[in-house]
Amino acid sequence: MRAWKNNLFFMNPAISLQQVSKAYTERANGPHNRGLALEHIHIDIMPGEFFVLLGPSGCGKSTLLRIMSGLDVSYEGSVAFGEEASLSRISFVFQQFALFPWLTVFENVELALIARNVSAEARVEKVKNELKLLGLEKSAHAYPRELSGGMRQRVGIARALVTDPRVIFMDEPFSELDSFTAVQLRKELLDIWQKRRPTVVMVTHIITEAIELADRIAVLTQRPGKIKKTFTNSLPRPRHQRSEPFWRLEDELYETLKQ
Amino acid sequence: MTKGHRLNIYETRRHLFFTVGIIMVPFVFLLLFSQAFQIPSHRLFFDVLISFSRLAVAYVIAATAGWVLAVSFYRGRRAVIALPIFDVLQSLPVFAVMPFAVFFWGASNFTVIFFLVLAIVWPVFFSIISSMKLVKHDWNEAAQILGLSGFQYIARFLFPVSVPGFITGSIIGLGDGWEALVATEIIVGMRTGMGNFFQSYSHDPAVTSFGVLGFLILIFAINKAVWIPLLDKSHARMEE
Repeated sequence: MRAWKNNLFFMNPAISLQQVSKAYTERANGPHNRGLALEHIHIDIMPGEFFVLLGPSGCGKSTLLRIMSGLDVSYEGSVAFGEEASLSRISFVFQQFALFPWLTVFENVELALIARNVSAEARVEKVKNELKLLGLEKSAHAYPRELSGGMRQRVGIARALVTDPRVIFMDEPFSELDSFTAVQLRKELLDIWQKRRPTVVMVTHIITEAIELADRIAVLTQRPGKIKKTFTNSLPRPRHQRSEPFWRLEDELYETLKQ
Repeated sequence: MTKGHRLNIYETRRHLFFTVGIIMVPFVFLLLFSQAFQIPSHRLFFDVLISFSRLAVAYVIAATAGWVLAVSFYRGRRAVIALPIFDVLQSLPVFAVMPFAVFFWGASNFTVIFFLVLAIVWPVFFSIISSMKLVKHDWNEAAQILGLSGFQYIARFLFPVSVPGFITGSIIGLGDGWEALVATEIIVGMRTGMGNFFQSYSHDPAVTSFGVLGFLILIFAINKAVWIPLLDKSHARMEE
């Protein structure tokens, strides 16, 4: 673990954002009234890092995630991917799952492999592995509407993992779940991340979630979103919410968000 | 393990038998009708069949054209430019140009099918557009992240999300089509088909009344057997 962290200094970033700004048009105040959603964002995210964007609702953190993932291309500045990562090796976990209701669990997970022209035999094996990993084998032929929120997000995560991506973007992936399910799923996500080491960029507004998962936490200001401060989280894993270092960091993040 | 069904629009065997029974009703009715009024049954069935075939051909053309137009113009700059144009086009009084069309193409199947296509295509087109405008933004983003493009994007994303609108548009379009069918056949002066049948018996109110009743039973049976189960199934598949 320590060796991996030391190596970070010699690595090229997996994703590098330079002076990223995003403007939007305030229609209510006339067509020419432009506001700023994001202003001069500069971030370097290292390969294999678990990076969290933390900020209040409406600060532009989801917009920033969409810019990084290529879903939003109307911005100023630059977003560059490192050698391993590229737009074809990314995946995304959505807040409200974004599963296709006309496909079964198996077919939802398989779709990304079909799009990458993976052979039928290899697809079946890969999908089965991911479903097994996330405890979804018995629901393979169910439709998303037949599943609970927690199960649906498991499908969303399986779909994101099946292509073996180098970067996974996660937009508040646990916010639609009950707290018990969210705790369980965070733990499983962390296990998977520690085994496979993709770069994870996650958005959340929940401080404890950020501390539990992240290597680094970037706190965003209210709109226009700017990086107020980036915290390095070196607490040993597993992180216990009742430990003193945990709540000290929690207080620090809370104060930074409040300012 | 729950098994996934692809095109099982009939929920139970009983539902299937009931549906088959409903399909039989118009045939039995037409047979009794022809016997009661001493109409040659082969003529009656032939007229129904020929009209049905014209409508079926027109529907296939209109449904294909409506779907292609809808998925090509449902969003972006193309939609901003094209949708008002299509809106004006669908309001054109097509029957006004019918004498002109008959003058050029004569009393032919082509003329009838051409006007039926114009009657069916717009409900199909606008229903698909409406269905696709309701597609969740997240789904579009997921399709983009998954890397769906070209044919895969059309077949695995655009087609499924267009199905509920396609079915609704088909029901409305075919309703308009049935209505236009008899009128078009009469105005064009076709020698075969239901238009010709009603024209031939225009002096006989009983035959006309029972003919209209048979016509309604046929439409009801087709809707009950095919379109309503398809509509229910297509909406159920989109439920989250």
